Amino acid sequence: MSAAAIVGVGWRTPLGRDVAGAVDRLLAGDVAAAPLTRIPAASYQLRRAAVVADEPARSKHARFLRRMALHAIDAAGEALTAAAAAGVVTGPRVGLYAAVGGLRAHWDDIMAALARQRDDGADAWARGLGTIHPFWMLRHLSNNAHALLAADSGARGDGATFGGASAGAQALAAAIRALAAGAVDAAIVVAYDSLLEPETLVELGAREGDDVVPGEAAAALVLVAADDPRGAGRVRVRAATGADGERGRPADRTVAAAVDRVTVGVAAATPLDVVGAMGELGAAASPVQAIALAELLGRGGHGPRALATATGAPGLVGAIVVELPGDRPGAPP
Amino acid sequence: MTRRAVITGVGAVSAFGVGVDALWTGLAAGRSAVGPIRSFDARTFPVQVAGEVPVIEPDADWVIEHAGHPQIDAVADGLEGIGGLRDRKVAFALAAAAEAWRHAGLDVVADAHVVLGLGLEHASLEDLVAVFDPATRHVDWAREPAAPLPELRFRQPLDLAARAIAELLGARGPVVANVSACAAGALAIAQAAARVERGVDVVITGAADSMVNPLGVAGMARLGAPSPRAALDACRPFDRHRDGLVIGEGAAVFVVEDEAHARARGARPLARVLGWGATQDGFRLTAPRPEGELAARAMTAALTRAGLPATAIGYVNAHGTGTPLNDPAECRALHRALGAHADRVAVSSQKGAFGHLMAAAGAIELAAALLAFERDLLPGTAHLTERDPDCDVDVIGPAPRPARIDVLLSSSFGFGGQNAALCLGRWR
Repeated sequence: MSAAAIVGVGWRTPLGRDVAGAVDRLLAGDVAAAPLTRIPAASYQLRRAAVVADEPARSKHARFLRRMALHAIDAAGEALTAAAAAGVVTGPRVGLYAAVGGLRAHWDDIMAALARQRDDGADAWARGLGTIHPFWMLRHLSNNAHALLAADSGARGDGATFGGASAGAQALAAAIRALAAGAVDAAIVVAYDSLLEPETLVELGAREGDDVVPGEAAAALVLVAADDPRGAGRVRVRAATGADGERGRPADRTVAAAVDRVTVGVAAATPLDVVGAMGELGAAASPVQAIALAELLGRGGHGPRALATATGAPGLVGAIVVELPGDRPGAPP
Repeated sequence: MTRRAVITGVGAVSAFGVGVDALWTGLAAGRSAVGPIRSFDARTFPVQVAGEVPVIEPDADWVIEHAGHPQIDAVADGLEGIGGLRDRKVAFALAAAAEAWRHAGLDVVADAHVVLGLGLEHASLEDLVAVFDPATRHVDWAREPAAPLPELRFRQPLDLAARAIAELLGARGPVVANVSACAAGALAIAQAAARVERGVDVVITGAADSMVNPLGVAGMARLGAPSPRAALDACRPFDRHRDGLVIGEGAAVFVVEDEAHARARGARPLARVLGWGATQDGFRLTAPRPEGELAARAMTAALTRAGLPATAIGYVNAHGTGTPLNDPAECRALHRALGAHADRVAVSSQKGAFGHLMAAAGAIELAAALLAFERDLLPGTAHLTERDPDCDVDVIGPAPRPARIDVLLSSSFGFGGQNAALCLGRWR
């Protein structure tokens, strides 16, 4: 299992946008779950959530992207700024790997088009669909954040957008593999998800009761190959995904198999869970974990390695290992 | 020992019908399967034709009939029970996957991976209307309508089709959903081949998509991508008079396998996956770079990975959307990537014949391109009557062209400038 060095990070989480500050809150035992006030949820079964409090920066992309995707682009900008300080310049050999949990459409934009619709859907165009905004479809294009970030960042190399519950781990794993294969010289990983949309809350509540705290987050990492001098002394990350075909949470053996894969060649790692305090983060879970664990390890006192898993309801699992590098001064071999 | 990826099974669901044979037979006859939309009332829509799979409602019975797999009853009934089959691409994916699995002659491969290209989440106009509150002129998401809505209603999981395939085939390896718009299918196949080269024996891959529903067609129509003509020849790739795409739907699924693994069990591969490449335009959401520079780089990367010169390419299965911007940009990309060979190599697009399958385009077109290896026929370009001088390559006309070629290149370009190229070789 290959590793990559983390040279830039950025995130927006329910515990804050500043990585060090959010990790301070984690260590202090803060929990982000709170009564949901961002949207009218009084009639919903789920009324507590972990919400990103900040609004994204004003952006020309707002006509295409929803809030959490805009946060992801902001976070990627911060990660790239940090990476630039390490000598990473975007260009033809920089890859871009994006992860989205779901593509929630801009439903608010088509309410006027629904007002005169018949129950059987007859004459739907004449009854309103002909009035929807020409960009409505573009706004929930599966890879629109990817495309706009590619334009902004100058990343022109390999890349893909992954979707679904373990998409963040898939994007991380794809980036690490591309670096190891020499397909790209640096890789941007960006992931975002929000479970705080009305229809998601309704369906999640119906399916899982109030046992779950829906959350939201955006995270971005810039990676270079583990043996790249620009990553010398930086924390490393490995990622693996797994599935077992179950419709509910993945079986323990599935999680164990993913952990086995991600820890090949890695000595025992300390399991740490940093996402629970921020709610269910969906596709953003693994990248958020990677950033949080990198910060924790960088501070010392937590051992040289940490392991985290993120599981999705449809039998999916992502596993990451974050470790201090052997070339780090004072780091354990 | 070097591991090499081969295709040992293929299944397809397209406007030509269920099964790869229906697809190949239709293309070999030079037919087009685009027709009037029948699965919903599109009479008032400006877009009234599509490459629609010939089924009004692919319910559990339809899936069971067409998938023909021992486990399909439980999977199809389970999906129908929660509303999962209302997303047409889920049904198409299952039928195509079952066919590919049969074709490959495989039993259960417990550690098989699934890497599938998928399109947008399905949403039903009727469900939204059912909870629309006229008083607030807004949807009341928590409202309980008179007729209960299914469990999966407003937001079908993005990766549902991929997980359904894994459940059907007993694949317990990682399940990956590639949602890179119209490049998703090609990228999924590339990722599958890469997994095989890295050590996975069997990967089920391909793509499925359907936007043939009121919201999908309306959104595309308002975007202006489809041809405004409600005619059966609405999509005319590389033609001087082309004016837009035709929406298609369906699925193509492949079994990509390690060659040694395939040989050991006596399988006859259909093709080798020799190389692949991907780049990003970083230009505009709806327009490719006009000079095709980054698209060309993806093609070059595929050739480089295959270790082949441009002159090895015997056929280019083009993205060829039939839109004013794509086709000339793609031809410029071909000239950049293939040099003088671009003047000689045969090029065609099947989007006029079965429509633009969006996320599944790269997969269904690769299935179509296998005609070159299976029947020594290069599929034609339906409805091409007068090649655009700006598309200065050897575009095959509506009829397929007999030819024996050993290597082909297939391109897919997604909204937002996601470029992908695959290089396949004849297996022998």
